[in-house]
Amino acid sequence: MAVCIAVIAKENYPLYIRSTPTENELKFHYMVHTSLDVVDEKISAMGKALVDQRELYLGLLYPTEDYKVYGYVTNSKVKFVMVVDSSNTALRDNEIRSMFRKLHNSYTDVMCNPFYNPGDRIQSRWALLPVSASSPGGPYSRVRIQSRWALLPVSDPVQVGPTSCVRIQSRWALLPVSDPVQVGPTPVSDPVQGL
Amino acid sequence: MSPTQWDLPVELCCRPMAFVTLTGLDVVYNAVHRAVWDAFCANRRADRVPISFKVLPGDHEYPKCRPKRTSYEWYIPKGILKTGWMNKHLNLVPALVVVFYELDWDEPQWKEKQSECATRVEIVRQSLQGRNTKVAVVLIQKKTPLPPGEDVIASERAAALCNACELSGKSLFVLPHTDHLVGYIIRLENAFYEHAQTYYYTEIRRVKSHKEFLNKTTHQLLFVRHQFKIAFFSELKQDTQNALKNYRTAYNLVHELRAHETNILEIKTMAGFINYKICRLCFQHNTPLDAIAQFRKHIDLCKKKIGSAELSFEHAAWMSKQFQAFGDLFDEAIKLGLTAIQTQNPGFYYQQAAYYAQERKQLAKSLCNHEASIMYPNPDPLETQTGVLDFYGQRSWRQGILSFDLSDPEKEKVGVLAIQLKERNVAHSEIIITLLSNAVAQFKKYKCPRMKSHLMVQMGEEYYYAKDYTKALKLLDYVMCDYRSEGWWTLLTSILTTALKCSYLMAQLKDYITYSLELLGRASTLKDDQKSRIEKNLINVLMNESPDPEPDCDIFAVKTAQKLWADRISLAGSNIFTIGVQDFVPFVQCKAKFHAPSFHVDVPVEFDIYLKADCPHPIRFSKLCVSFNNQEYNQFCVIEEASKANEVLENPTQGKMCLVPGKTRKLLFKFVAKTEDVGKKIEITSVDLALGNETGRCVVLNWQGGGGDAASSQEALQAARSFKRRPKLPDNEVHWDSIIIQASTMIISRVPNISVHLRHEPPALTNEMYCLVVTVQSHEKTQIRDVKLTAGLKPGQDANLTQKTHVTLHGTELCDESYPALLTDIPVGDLHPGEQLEKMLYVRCGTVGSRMFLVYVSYLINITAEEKEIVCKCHKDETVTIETVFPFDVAVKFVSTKFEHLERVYADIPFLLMTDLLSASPWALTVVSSELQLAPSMTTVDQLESQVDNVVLQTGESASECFCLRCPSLGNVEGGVATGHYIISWKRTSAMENIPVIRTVITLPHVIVENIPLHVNADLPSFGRVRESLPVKYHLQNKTDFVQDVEISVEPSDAFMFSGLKQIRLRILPGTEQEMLYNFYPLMAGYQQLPSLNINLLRFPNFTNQLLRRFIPTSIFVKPQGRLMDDTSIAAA
Repeated sequence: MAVCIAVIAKENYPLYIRSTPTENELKFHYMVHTSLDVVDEKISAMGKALVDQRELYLGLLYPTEDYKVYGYVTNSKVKFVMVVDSSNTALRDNEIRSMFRKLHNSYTDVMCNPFYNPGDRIQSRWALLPVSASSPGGPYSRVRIQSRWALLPVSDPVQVGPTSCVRIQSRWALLPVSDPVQVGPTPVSDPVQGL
Repeated sequence: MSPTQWDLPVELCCRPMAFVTLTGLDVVYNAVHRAVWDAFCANRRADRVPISFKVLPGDHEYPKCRPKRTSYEWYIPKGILKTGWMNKHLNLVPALVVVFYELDWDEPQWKEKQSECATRVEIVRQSLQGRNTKVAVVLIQKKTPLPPGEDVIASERAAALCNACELSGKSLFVLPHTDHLVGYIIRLENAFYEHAQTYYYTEIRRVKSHKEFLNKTTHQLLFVRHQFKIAFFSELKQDTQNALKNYRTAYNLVHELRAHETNILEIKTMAGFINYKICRLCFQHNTPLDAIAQFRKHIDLCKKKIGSAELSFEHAAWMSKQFQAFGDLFDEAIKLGLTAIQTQNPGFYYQQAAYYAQERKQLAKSLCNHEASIMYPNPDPLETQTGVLDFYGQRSWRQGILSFDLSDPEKEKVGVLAIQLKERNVAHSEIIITLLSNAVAQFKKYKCPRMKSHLMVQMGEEYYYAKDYTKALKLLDYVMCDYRSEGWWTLLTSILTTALKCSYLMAQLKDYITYSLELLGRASTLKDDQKSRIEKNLINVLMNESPDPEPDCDIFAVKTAQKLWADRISLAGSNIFTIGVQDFVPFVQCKAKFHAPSFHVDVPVEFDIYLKADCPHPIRFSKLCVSFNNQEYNQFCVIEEASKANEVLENPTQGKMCLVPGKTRKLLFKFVAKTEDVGKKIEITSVDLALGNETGRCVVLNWQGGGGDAASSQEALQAARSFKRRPKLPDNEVHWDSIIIQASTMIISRVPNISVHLRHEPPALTNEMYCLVVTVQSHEKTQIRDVKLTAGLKPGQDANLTQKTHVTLHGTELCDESYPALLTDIPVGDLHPGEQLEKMLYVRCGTVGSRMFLVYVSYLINITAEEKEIVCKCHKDETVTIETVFPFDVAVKFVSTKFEHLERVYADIPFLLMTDLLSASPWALTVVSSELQLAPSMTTVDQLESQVDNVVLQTGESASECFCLRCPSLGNVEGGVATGHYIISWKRTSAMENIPVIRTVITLPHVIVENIPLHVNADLPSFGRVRESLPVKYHLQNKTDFVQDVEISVEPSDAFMFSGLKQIRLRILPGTEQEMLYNFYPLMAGYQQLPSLNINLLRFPNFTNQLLRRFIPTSIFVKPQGRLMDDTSIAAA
């Protein structure tokens, strides 16, 4: 599993960085930041390739003594960087790829959140993703639900206040969801009222 | 223990070359010998064979060869590799000893010389006792040798000499001291090289031969040693492939050794040496990937072999060295042409080396923190008798002891302590910084700006630890902006925190304040308690007091810093710091916004300054001033603590200087713009916010333009993208994000309160004095002064229009070219409220088409704005588009007297000129008169009187005139004959009496004049009457200079009877006229065909009747017989 996952905006500022060994967060920040050198170089190298043939997965960016840094870039030039422990030999290229793909899906979910403003730093509980993803598979499905949950940004005061609850719920109702998790704290009796 | 303990030995790092000593050369006193030596040494380029030469005296003592061991059975090696071994074979034990001897073949005292030479060789052989070193003799000769075989004496004596010296013929050389010295030397060298290779080959064989005596239990070390020696000799032999192979084997063997805490250093040292050799050779063989793979393997194998925990810093130092050495090798290979890439370049190795150096420092710090009372042990356990170790990587206090048990734990303790104490004196930071700066140089080369920044941060931090705060600050300050511009706030905060410490420790006021400002700002990710502390310190500094020390600083440094701060306080002087905020993210944000993009000059200009503090506690500012591009306004836009009466209105006065965290403070400013600035842009060039006061210390935050700092543009972009609904706020509060900076506004003139009306009758007619009535009425409440009118063609249209448009105020006279197209600033005088004035303008348009006319009225008015009397200049303009058309169309045609259309006229024969004036004007026109001015070639038949005087033409009506003209014969004129001009004087019917009449001149078309030979015209009454005689007289005029024969016949007609000559042939003399008289007698009433007259000219066959019919009538109207007899008609009959 990854020790650090980062989502970097098109303009190269971090949208989201989380690392498991929290005591040396700064080190991972630097690691992710420096890896952008390679990402930039790779992106500019493949700039000429056709858009539909473009591989989003950038592969191993650079190895350090203790970690491996992998990169992935979406078509909108949002970058994902994943730092993996060098000693973890279980993670092959394919696993990394699928982790990135799942990360991309989660990111897409965040983007679908009507309350998320593209370009803002992601401050949702989606944050838990890299930490809990001990093996690609099971935990991710849970993460997806969590990320849907994340559509209600915890940090935003608007959506936390009791008065605005009804409005959010009604919006919420527009999202095609069937999972009971998404029912939310206060079920709405009259959805029209909120609209 | 030298500081270079971890450095690889020189003899390991150099390229091994065959060692050859030259004896018998006196390079000091003998010029010939000197030249020979120089030829050997100088210009040793790559194409020369790799030999290292050394001049030694003939009786030099070479290292003694130890007696050959016959059995290894009882031999126990004491270490892997002796420290002197490599050097011995590189620089001490030669592969070949060359004896130089001056001897010519024809030497008279040959015998003596020969034996002397033999003695010398013998001496050399003596000192090389037991070694396989080859000996060669070079005879330095003055004469050029003859070709081989020709010199009998030479070959004889050579054989004799070889015998005497016990040399093979291959080891005897002749060096003629002639012009081609270098050539001979190169040949000699090559021969030496061969001997040397043979020597090393035998050495390799010799070492290999030991192998069979070894056993795996006691001689493990020897396996490594021998393998290393074989590889090293192969290298000396320049057999790098085999060398590499043997080094690889040696490397594997070294890791097979039983490792224990006591010998781990020796194993690592040797592994490091061999690894270095392998990597070096791989790069040399241009297989860098092999080198990298080997290095990775090496690191992976050795990473965990830390050894004694008390000396773990040694492991870190060793690791650091491994990376550094590899980085050096890599870099060297690149210099020799290898290409590296972004993700695989020496920088990574230097970086890792630096990382291990940092680790070494950390470990050393924790392991070597002995109290000052602990003295360095005496006697020094690190001293050895010889001053050097016997074997690489062994401990000096237990050299050659292979037992894994510590025989003397006390001694071990002392040794460890000595190492630890020595480690304490190592300048770790220096090592780290050197490595980091190496890495920086590499990453710069391989397009890794962020990596470079990261390393520079580390360098800065290292300088900080090394207490070189100036350098630390310089580096940190340099990279800060990279992190800031990319929005990596966490990293920026960490850098700023270090920078703040540096600036505190140096008591750098301005830096300290700047970093504090940013650490309190929104870009900082510090916790609130940290921010509180920094804010408190900042306030202290502003009050000219010392700040509290930053946490985690060196205690001694803090003491020094406190002294420095105390000095700063007592030091009077400039205590005002202006800090430009555009390059960083301070804790106060500012946005300026004009209320409107433009202001009328009579309205005060209003704008808001929004301030927001991001620090944890409220902060007071002492002054806020706004600067404009026109500095005269600056004085109106200042808020100061002291001053009471101010322009700020909305905010309650108390607390307005206080910024509450998170709250947006709005400050309203108002000022009246200067009238000179009408039409100009007023721009806020900067906003200055002063914190602290001038008695203490004062920091002026300076925003360029209307606010905004390093982070605000990105924030504004995000805010613009956001569609998040913002919570409702109380009325006078605004959301910070929703404020958009508007730093400039236009000053526009006051709205005029007058009306301007234009009255006219379009379209204008060409050349007429078109009347435009301008009515200006004042609706102002006070008198307006200095009313000026500018009227005419609107500038900026077609330049030709300017030439053909003229404007005047006086309609009574026609204006000409000298009149302008635009009348400017016609003073009209003053106007009282409600007063109205009218001004007539006359425009003359010379060409048709549409024109834009501008009427611009300006005036001055006194206005009171904000209790200030200002004189405003107002203006109002009206534009009107006027079409100009031709007043009429004039058509001119030539007709014969019979009103038949003429294409050409005939000389001397009268014709008619008809003019047709068709009014195209929508307004009635009065044709005052018309005039025909004939060209000199034309003559008139009757009076030229105008027939259309004072005719009024409505639209579409036409007035025609007819003039009878004659053109005398002029001969053949190309293009016709000018007719003259037709001049029409006209005006609008509606125009006033005094408006001048316009004369329109029309040039009449040219006409082609043709001569005809015979002109016939008929005299006949205008009508006939049935059964009444109708006399007709035909005049035939000969227009030529010849006598003409004319055949005339008259064809009968049913309607007439006639008398006269029916057919005749006659002659007409030149210029004369013949009359023919007929009497027709009409029989029928109505329009009747006359009996046609046919004329045939014998000389001019093309004079046809067709032409004739133009001149003479072909029919006549015959009236019926009336009841009342007309006397005249009877008389005529």
